[in-house]
Amino acid sequence: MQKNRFLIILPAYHEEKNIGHVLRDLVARRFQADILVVNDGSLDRTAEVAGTFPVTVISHPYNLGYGAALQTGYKYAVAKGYEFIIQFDADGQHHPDDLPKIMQELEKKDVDIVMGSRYLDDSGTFRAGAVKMFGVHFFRGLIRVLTGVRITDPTSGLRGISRRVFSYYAVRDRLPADFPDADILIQQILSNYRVREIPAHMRMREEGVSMHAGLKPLLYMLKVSLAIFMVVLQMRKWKRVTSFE
Amino acid sequence: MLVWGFGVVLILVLSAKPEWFDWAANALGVSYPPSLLFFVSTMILLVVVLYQSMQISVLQNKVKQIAQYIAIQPHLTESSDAQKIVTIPVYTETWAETAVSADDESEMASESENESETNDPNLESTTPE
Repeated sequence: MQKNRFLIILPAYHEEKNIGHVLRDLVARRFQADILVVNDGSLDRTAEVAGTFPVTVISHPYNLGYGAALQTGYKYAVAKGYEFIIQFDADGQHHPDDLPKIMQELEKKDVDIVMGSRYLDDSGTFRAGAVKMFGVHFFRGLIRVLTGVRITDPTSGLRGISRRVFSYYAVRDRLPADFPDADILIQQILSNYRVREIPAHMRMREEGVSMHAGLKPLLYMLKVSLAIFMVVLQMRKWKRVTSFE
Repeated sequence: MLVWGFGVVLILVLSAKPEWFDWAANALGVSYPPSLLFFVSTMILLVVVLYQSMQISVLQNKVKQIAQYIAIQPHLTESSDAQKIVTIPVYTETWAETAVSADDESEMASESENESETNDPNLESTTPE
C-alpha cells in the first residue's frame, strides 16, 4: 500500500512546452498525492521534461490515444493500491487550486466521481468558442434526456475517481482508447455510480494544439453520439438480461 | 483456411460444370447468370472484409494492452504489483459485470490459472468481491 492515497494522472501527448509549468505548479503545492505522467508516445521532449520533476513517468511505446493513456494510469493505480485518482490535463488548462476540493469530496466517500465544471465557476475566466458551446449544450441535453441527471460540463477532463470506478475501467476494453467522454459518463450514471460536479477554474491551453482543434469537434460529436447510442443499447440489453434472472 | 479451401473447391466445380450455375441462376429468376456470379462474389468479399475489420479491432485492442503492460512493467518493482495488472479486482455492482459473457469468464479463468502457477500468496482473487 502506498503512503499517499491519491494519484494525480496527467495523460500527455506532445506537451513539452506545457508539462513543465503544469508539473512545477503541482509539485509546488505539496499535495498529499503522488503524480503520474503518462507520456502517450510523444515524439517531442515531453517525457524528458516530466522526468526532471519528482513524478513517475510512464511512456507508451507509440501513441495509443487519450483513453488508453488514462487506462494505463488506472492500471498503475490498481497495481499500486491507490484509493483515489485525479485526472488532470497536461496542457495547463486545469488549475491545481481545484484539487483540494476534489480530494475533500472524494474523502467523504459518498461519491464515486467528482467532476470539475468550468460552467459552475462564476468568475468567468473561461471563454469557450461557439462550436465548443454547441457541443457542450448538445451533450448536456443528451445526458439529461437519457439519465435525468444535470451535468453542466460533460466534456470536463478534470475528474476525481474512486477505486470502485477506476478498477472497473482498468480492465481490457472497458474504456475506449480514444475519447472516453459523454458516452462513458452516461454509462457510469446508468450504472449507479454517484457523480457530483464542483466549480473549477479553467484556462485556455498555454502552448501547442488541442486534440479538439479544427473540424475535429464535429467528428468528435458524431463519434461520441454513436458511442452513446451503443451504450444505451448495451444498457437495455443488460436490463433485459437481469430482468429474467 | 477452411473457408478458402471451400472456395477453391467451389470455383473448381463451377469451372468444370458451368451449366450447374446456369441452372441455379434460372432457379433464382436471374436472366443473366454471370450477374449472379458477380453478386455472390461481391457479397462474399463484403463479408470477408467485415470479418477482417472485426479481427483488426480485436488485434488492435490486444496490441494496446501489450503496449500498456510493457509501459507499466518497469515501474512495478514488487512482484505482487506486477501480478495485480492482470489480476485486477472486479466489482459486481456494475452493470457490465453481470452481463459478462462466457467467453470473458473463460478468459479470466485462464488468466487465473496462469497466475496460480506462481504460487504468490499476495495474489488478489479474480472472483468478484
